[in-house]
Amino acid sequence: MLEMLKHDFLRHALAAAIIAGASLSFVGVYVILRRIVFVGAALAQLGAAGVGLALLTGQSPLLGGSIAVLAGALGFVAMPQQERTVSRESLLGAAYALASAFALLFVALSPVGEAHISALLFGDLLAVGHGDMELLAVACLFAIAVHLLAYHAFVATTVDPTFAHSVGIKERRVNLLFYLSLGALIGACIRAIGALVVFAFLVLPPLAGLIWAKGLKAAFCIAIAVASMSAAFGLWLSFAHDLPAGPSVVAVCGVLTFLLAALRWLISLKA
Amino acid sequence: MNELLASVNSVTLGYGRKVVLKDVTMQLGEGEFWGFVGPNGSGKTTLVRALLGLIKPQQGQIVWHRQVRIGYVPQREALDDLLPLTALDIVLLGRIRKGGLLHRFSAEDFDKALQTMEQVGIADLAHLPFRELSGGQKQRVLLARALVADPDLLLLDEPTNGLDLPTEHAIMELLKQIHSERNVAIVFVTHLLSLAANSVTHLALFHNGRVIAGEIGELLSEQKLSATYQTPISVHDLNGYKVVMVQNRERVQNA
Repeated sequence: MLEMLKHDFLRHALAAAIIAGASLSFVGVYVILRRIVFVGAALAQLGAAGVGLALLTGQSPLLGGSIAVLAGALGFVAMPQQERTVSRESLLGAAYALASAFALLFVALSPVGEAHISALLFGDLLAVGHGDMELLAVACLFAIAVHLLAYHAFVATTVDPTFAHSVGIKERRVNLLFYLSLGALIGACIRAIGALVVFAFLVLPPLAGLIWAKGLKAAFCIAIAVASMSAAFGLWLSFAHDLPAGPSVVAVCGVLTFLLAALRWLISLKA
Repeated sequence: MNELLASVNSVTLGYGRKVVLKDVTMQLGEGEFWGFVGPNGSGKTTLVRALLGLIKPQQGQIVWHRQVRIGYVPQREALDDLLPLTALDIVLLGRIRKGGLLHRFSAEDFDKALQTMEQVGIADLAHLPFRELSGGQKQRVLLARALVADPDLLLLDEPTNGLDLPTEHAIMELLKQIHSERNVAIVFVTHLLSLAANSVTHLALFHNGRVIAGEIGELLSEQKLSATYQTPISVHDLNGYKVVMVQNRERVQNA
């Protein structure tokens, strides 16, 4: 591990993975509690499509990804609450499928070609520079600050939207803030860690947190710890065995979550 | 008549083009105890949602005569068992007030929450996970969450649904106690007429998209109920407990 930290680019990669992982897993607890995992998947793919379009048109990938994700988040908030002829889930499925296809098409059509496809899915952690990391950190800090400031409003609308409305919380306004912060976070992370790693951080560490924690704050802490450990061990694994960084981080995250879930299950059997 | 809280004036409610309730007129007064009674799908919850401002009337209007603090108690199944929250965490949410986006709970909020939990008999459950509580305990937690903001009007959506008889009785007794001690107006939704008949001061009967509302003395007569439901209905007094039942299944023609 210490050997890995001697390299500048690996230190940047580690910091970026931990910052992105900790932030995404924090917000991911809400993603699971609100049962909007598919929203997370669709937004991540929209981000990838935005990055692809930016590569094709020679624009900033960070900007392209962020605009696409924020547009998707706004679109989701604008979807009608009452499902009449089609479900929201089916619209999200359609968005996911189309965004995935367009992401790959944009990259295939771009001058840099298919070399970027892997980076689109798993990011380009080892290429994160000092400036990229600062931008990532600012975006993550902004999203987390929004979540900490509006903590009780987010919890109230997650627990019981009707009750939240009855005590005067503007549910649509809170939801807009929630989805914009989620969008900003995904948009900022997509270029560095890619769509699949973003989605993995949104789901796996929060799962571990919710399986173990008796309180919401403990669930956040466990999720952040699992994401940070996965980022560190995943990168070390990648460095030590010359494996791709993104998939290594996801694999470690998955194994860690599975082990924690299995341990919890064993303890519940004994109790 | 008590001081008016809200007037529902010729209100038609529905979703999209579908009309659920037509031409509803009633007045909610301070300290009244209302039973909204009707079968599933008859529009009881729709009217509650309209009182909460969640749906707008297609016609008519709901007029609030002063600033009214509403305490809403949903069916306990409305809260997801995934939530890792304690009973106290849930009750505290009732202390978030209007514009509470940045609200932080104070020591006073915690004191008030614990005090309210004690009043509804669940002080010892404060630090237990909500998802591990029984149905009756969960309902009391949700009641405490609504009461902790000192509401003028309590709206309860089928609070006794799915509870066993002793728990149902205990919840009803608690509601009567809260009503008499706090003089809070209560709207209690149920599909059981007998349950409402023994607690409330006013009834709103939901039937075929219409609502017949008034004081219980006016509505709880065999003649009125039979005409409303177009079925012969009898009202019995069993040691001071009113029992409402259908006499037979023959439809009454020209009732």
